[in-house]
Amino acid sequence: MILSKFFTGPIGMLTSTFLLACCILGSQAQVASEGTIDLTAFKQPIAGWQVLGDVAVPWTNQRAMDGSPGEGLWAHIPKRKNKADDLITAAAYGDIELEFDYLLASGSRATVYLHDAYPMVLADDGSGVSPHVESNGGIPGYAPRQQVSRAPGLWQHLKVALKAPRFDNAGTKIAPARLLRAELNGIVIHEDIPLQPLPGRAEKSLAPLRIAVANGPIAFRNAKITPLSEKSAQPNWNNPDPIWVQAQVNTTLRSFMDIPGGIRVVHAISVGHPQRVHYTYDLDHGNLAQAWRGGFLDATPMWHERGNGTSRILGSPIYFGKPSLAIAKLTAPEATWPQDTAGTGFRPKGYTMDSNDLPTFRYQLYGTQVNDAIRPLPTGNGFSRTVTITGAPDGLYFQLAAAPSIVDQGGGVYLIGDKAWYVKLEDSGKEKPFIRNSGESKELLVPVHSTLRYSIIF
Amino acid sequence: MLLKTKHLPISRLLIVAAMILMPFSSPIAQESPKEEDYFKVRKVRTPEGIILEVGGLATLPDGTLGVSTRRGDVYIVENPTSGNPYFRKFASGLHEILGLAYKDGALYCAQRGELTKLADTDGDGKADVYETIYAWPLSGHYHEYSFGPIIAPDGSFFVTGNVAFGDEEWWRGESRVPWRGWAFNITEDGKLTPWATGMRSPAGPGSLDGQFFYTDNQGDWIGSGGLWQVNKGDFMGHPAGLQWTGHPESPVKLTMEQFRSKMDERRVKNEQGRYIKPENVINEQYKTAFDAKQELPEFQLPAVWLPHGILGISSSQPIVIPNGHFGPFAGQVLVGDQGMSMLSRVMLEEVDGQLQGAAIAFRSGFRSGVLRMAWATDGSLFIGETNRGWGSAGDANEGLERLEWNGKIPFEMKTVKAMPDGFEIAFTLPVDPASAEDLASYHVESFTYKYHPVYGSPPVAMKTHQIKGVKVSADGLTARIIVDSLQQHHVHSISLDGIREKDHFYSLIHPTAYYTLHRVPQGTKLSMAEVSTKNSSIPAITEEPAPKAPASGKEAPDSKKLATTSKPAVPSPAVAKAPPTYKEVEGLLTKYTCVACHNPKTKQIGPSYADIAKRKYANERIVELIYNPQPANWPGYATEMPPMPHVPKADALKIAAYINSLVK
Repeated sequence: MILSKFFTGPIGMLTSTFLLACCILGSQAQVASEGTIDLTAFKQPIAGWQVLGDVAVPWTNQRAMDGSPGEGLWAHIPKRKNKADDLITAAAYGDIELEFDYLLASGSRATVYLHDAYPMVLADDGSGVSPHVESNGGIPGYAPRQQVSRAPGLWQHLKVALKAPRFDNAGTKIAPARLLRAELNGIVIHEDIPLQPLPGRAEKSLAPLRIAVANGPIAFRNAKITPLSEKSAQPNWNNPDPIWVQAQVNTTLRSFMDIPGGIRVVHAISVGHPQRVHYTYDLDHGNLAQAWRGGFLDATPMWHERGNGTSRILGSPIYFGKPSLAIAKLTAPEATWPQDTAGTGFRPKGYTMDSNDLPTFRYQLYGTQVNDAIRPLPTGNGFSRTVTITGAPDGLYFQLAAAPSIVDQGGGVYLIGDKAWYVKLEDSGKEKPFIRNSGESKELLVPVHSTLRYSIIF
Repeated sequence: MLLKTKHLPISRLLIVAAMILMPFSSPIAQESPKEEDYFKVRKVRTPEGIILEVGGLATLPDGTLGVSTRRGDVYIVENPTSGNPYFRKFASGLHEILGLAYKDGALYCAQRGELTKLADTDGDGKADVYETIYAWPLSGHYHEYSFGPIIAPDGSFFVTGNVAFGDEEWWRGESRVPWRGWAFNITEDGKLTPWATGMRSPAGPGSLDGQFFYTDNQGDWIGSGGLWQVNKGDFMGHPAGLQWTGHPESPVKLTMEQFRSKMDERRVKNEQGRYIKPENVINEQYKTAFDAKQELPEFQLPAVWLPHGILGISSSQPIVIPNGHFGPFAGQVLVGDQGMSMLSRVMLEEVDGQLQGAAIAFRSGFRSGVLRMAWATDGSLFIGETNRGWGSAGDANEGLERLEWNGKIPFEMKTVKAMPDGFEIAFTLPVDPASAEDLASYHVESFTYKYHPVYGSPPVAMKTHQIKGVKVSADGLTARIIVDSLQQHHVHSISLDGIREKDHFYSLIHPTAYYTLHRVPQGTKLSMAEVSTKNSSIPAITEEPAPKAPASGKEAPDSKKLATTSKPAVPSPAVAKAPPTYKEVEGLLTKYTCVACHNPKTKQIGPSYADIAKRKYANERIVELIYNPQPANWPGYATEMPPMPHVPKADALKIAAYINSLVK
């Protein structure tokens, strides 16, 4: 770590040591791997920033962020309106690939200045549905192609490939900087755009990265800058015209659906909504297979020529693990969740459509009838799910989530996975959910009788 | 289309006829009517943006038409026969629907993975109930299409399911999950009963007067498409579904092990340990489906073969022509074809308890591949079409059309019946007696197909039959021919090129019928005293200098020339003359079924002749490629050309010369 030149002498040594201790609280000195960016990469001073082990946005106060000691991420958490210094890398870069995770609270807003001249917004979009130049991932003149943001308190991922401007020997700019590609949460939001600098900002062939916070809190981790790899892929001129299915009205489409783990769901139905949040339901298990924000489906793989029967999602997904039953009869709260439907009497019965063309799924289980209705939240950042069971048989549990990590945030809110999505209980009767271990992983279960209602927020 | 073969000197016949029928004007000047002069194809005006890759058609009791599509939509079309049909989207989002049936106020359809009931219970014109009657397993392979349902007389449903294909052995159908390669019955309350197997690509389940029939498509083990009756416990020939005959509910008892002990699956690896795709072997000992039936009792032969390339290449739905519809053809069966975009007509009869009969071309020229049919309330026939993934004749990828009869009687064979000593043909209009009593007007050949794991089969055991005599009825409406050496289970092509209609001397619109002769009926044979033996042609059976034709069961590559010509045989393709014109090869192109897939200028299932000509192959190279096509030469064509080793070399060279003449 570079010691500031302002502090000399014994008091200075003490102060600088104290500052050193504050800035790297809890961290051990580590050799940064090539390209890794952490707080040590930025020029001093960096008031307002700290290294932390974990952060969380409390559900009941979403403009706040709680930090816990440790290492692995760095954050600005405003206290008494302190401002954060701009983070400016000590090094200057040319053509780069930049990627990092970031986590926002409600109302947070920051700007990444690529090459210290070309801004890109990091912001909590609130209930925004249509992306625009000032929303998450926006750049001057270009709104992100899709709305693929995440709710406050969840990790988002940005990956950028940038080509620096080119100058001749006289210093005249002969080619503008280009944003070759920007991917937000895995989805391309910009591609091959010439960039104009901030008014009055000089352009150089080498420049640092700058991050400026307008409104905290904000946390970062897994940041890397690596030289741009020149992968010039030739266009495949034989590729067919894409056949996209967008959901300007509530739209359903059954297809095979491939999900991670090499799994092909063969009785899958995807439901898309104008709120730009969609899900795929696995009819063989009566459960969600995935949910995503952004565009609905690319049906080219099934509708071009013979096709292979599958469609692909257009937006940015969250997954729910290997498909399994949502409801199971357990002999005891610690009994293993069934791996398949054997012995459960599971039988799909299809769905009914309401007057808005929204489906309610129906299936039989343990001799009783289950209805499963998943409805988009008006803010477009998730779903409300209502499950009703006739006959209220005994011993049934509902699996709200299965993930490597599940954290109780209080108030019926649970943070699932690596801060990937939330479960929020709305109505579980008198029953309380509980987290239990399942091998190396965790499950969030709740006993269920006749009704359960909860939200999935991401 | 008229088959023009050169074995009859028409000019001689017409001169004779003119002498007999002097008062009439010269018949040579008059052109015979064609299909389109009796059966018009009407379009169904469809709003732009509605994609009708038709998978199912059903006429509802109120006359509206239900249309299900491969894009997952179900439309109800009001006033479908009018100039202003009104489309309502009834349901959407289903997974590649390939059928549609109406029952008790609801529509039923087979998607890839389930039999679904669609009902509008709140009266808004859209389905609000999408009920899963039964969801069957799928492996997720693209070819696992599911067809139907058809409704059985007891109200239950039948669905048929395609096989998948192997990974390394991509040519070999396999059944990865129950009940692929099967027909199965499903009740309204969702109970499944496996019914029959041995199916490969059962795209045309149909209920014909309450009986379950289906068509299968040429492919491995299926030499040619055909129409089969389906009885519980039948094995239709493709072994893939035998995977599941161990299931306690399986009515088919034949096991995969038993099958493999009797049939050679030709799973052969090369030196690198990779499987070799089986190809047709010329000059081999082969089995026919009938041979297989001797060893596998549950084997069910098709009632009627639909000769590949002539009466279709991808058979689809069969449908009965009801009483009062389509004039003289009421009661007979129409079968659609997805590749040649045509309908064939099947005249079924039962002989000694065996269903068999003749198939004949009926109407071609639809804009895309014919998959489904449904009768409109005005007596016309809706035709549902799609060709996506396979290509077809016609210039569109999908469509909904309507076939309308103008009420006039076309001059056609009405029925063809087997006789103890030949065949009896009944006509829709009286025939001209002189032409009907002339043996030269008739030509009968027979052939069959191999039963083997190769994709399809060329016609084999080809034989020309002698016609010994003909008895024409006094009213001119029937002609009964004595045919020698009838071949049981073989297809007998009966060409009546010389027959003329009595009043106008029209030719038959479709002069060749194909009779699948499983059984020869008992009964009285004709005596020679009753028949005419007049024969106006010069005996014209020519033989190429060829290897000795071996005993039956073996196929000879250069067997007796089939289309006997009245010219002396040309032993080798000689001499640099002007290349043949299209007219001169048209007959060959039809006879050898090139027309099933090729067209002079436009891409159909195969490349146009003009595009082939651009490759500048030598004539001899084209002949090699006819015998052993190389699909790798033509990426972008979904359907591979099968080998055509039965085309005599002289004819193949003539075709090649014509093709090459298209490009300088």
